[in-house]
Amino acid sequence: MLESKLNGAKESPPGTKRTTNIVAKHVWEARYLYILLLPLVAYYVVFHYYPMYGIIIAFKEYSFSKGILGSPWVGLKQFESMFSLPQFIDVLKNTLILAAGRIVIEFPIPIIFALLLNEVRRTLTKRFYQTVFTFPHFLSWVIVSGILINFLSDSGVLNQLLQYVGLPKINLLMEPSSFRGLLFGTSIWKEMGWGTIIYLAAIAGIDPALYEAASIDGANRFQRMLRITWPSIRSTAAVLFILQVGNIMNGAGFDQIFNMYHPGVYEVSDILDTFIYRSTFYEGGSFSFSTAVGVFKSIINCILLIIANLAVKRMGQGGLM
Amino acid sequence: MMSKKFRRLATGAVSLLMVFTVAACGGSKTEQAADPGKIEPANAGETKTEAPTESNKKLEISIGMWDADKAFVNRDSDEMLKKFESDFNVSFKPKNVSWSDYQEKFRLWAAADELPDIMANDMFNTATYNQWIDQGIIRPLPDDLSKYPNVKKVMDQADIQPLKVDGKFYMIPRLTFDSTEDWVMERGLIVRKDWMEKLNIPVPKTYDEYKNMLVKFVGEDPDGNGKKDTIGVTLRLPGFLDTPLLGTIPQYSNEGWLYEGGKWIPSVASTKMVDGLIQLRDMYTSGALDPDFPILKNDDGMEKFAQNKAGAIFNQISIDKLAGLKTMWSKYQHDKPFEDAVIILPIWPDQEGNTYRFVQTSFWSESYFSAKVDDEKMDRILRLYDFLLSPEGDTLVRYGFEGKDYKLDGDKVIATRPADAKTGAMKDLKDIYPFQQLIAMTARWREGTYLDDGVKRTMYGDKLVDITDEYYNKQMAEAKPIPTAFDIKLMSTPAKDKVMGIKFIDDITKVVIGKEDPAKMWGTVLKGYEAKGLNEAIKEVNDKAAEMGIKP
Repeated sequence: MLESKLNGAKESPPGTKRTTNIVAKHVWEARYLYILLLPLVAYYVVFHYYPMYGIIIAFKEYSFSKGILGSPWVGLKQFESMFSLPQFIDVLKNTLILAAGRIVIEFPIPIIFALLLNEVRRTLTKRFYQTVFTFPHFLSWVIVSGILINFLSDSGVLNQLLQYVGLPKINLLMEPSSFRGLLFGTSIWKEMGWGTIIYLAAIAGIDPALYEAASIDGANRFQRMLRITWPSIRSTAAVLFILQVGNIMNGAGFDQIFNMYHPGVYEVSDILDTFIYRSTFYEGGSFSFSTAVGVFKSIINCILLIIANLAVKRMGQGGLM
Repeated sequence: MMSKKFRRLATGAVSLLMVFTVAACGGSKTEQAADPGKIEPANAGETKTEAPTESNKKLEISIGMWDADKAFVNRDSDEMLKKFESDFNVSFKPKNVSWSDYQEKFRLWAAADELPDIMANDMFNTATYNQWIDQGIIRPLPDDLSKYPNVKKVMDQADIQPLKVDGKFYMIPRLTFDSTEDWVMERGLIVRKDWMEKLNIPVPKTYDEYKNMLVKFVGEDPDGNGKKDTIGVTLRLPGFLDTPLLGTIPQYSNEGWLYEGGKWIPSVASTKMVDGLIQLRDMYTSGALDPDFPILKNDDGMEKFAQNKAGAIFNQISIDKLAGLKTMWSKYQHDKPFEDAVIILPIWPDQEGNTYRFVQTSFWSESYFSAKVDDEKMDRILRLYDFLLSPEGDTLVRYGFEGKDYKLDGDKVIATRPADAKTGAMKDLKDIYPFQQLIAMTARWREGTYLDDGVKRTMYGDKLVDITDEYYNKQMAEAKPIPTAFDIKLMSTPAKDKVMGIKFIDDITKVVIGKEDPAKMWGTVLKGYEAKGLNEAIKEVNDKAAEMGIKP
């Protein structure tokens, strides 16, 4: 054995060749699977990895005519000007508050709703509720913000009702104090039903024998939900939680905020994405600056993703990595 | 198990897909290489081919302008389009932008190297403008414009000279009015006269009287429906908050600078700005101002006025704009026709008792040309502009074809366009030739103001013309033009261009609907502007003004 090892070491070039041959043989044997895999790899390379080199403009002074590679390097200048902006801290704070709110307030809602929906006895009623709650997901934020204005503006439905019963008007859309609540509320209304789908699918996969055994042992519906249903969907919830945390800086919700906010509530709703959008397209800020903000965002995201993954693993659930 | 046939089929399909992907990815580059616009101007001579000759080669010219698509709906039958395309041997291609996204779209196209050959934009003396010149995104006009006398005449205007960058012009101003004075009708207040009569409100003179009138519109049920559902005054768009500021800090509304405390400062840094904000806050908290003004978009404000919901609107008051509002008005049920139900009022006087009327540079937007436009195409474009700025071109795009759309009675133009079957009113020229709405606005911004009086009366009706004429004459006689230092306004310095690009209206809105003391809030806002270079801008402007000998 030692001899053969020594021989192998001696004949390292032919040995490497042999390994290469083995790999090549394996690849050749599974060539159809590899070919099927190719488009996906090509997709990621072309649309995700190749454009990534564009982030170097965060360290350059991007010039339209010189292009991405030709523009001059400026080091960390863009980051310095980003941190020195007076509104930057506010914007970052809003992003974190809103994203954290999405996790704390919005994330558990579909789980609770899925658990409740699962307890509805009549299939038809269950389907009805599921359809009704899923439908708003298909409305765009442009429409939802229009509906909201019709309901909550000064001459909207809410104020008409208030006036009808002799109460003073309230203008929730103009109030910075109520605006974040509106963001969370509308987002829950719109996405709650859609979010339950994945949990309901996980619930559907639970072995009915578990429930039968539990009821024979005398467990009531609540106990069954707590001891059987919840543990069965906990790992799904953990994975979704990691994904949500990893997306925390994007997850503050550009589409929703962009359609609902106005200068009067910037102080509580202006997030990094909306800030980049305005500084690039309204005030003519440089693309390098906007990219620097984007890179900063991605770094924070990446760190949070790793932390969330570790935390979930510590809690005894399987992580993603 | 996969059958052999299936494997082959799958492999074939996937390979084909890969080929298409690669072909699609490579496509844009191939197109770019073939783009004739890429020819370097200096080498233009070498790339000439034998035939067709340079002067009669058909060229494609893309135009980026608001609602450009609408101008090409009758591509095959539009006689005006045909005339321009054949006279100049070009083919026009629209690049559509909308009023709410044009700035963004042009910036995106610039980044993607897809700017149209001609684009209309208002961006001179902004950071973007300087950046585009520095980076060679837009091209300069030739130094010698003698071949294009009508263009030369515009570029020789005194107020255009400060716009040269390193001795060259990078745009052609799209003249709006012949003089700065003619801008009177750009800002005004349209009020429901019938509501005033119903509530016995006399024509207001001071700020307090205006405010009381507007508050009564909210509280005293002027529409008589038994509900408290009316608004005092709304705005066409949030930006029209500059109109009530005419009564305190008039320079804000035309982005002017003023001389205060021994130096030139932008209007937002003036102490009068705080007075204006206090007044706006008062209007907002008293209910006189539309409580939802920050979320007004597109035509929301005009719709509120047309739908009987608002007693007044800060708006443009030119004949075109009033006619537009009247069209909206006529969609809803009203007791009186538009002309009898409204009155145009000036903005209240300031503390010294001065009433101001709006003035502006002779243009508000400019034509820019992509750097990809080579000398040959630029020559064609300038010939087109020269024609559009000539009296002959002006008549064509304003009145259509002689003998068909109008006839001449001495100097008087008599429009002979057919009536619209539905409304009975004379058809708009753009309804007959959709291309007219684009080409008329290409070289300059043409308002109905300069139409022949007779044509105006046929198009808009006597009453509406009389209302605007009367207001115009009264304002010219009684109101003062906004004291504007045009030399300073047109001056370009790096920090000034950056600071003037700030969206001041966002901060004004915040202060108006805020709860804290307006002066304190505005102080914080100004600190933010300082971080963006306000003090540098003031220094640069004052240094340059001293150098140029500009005196207050």
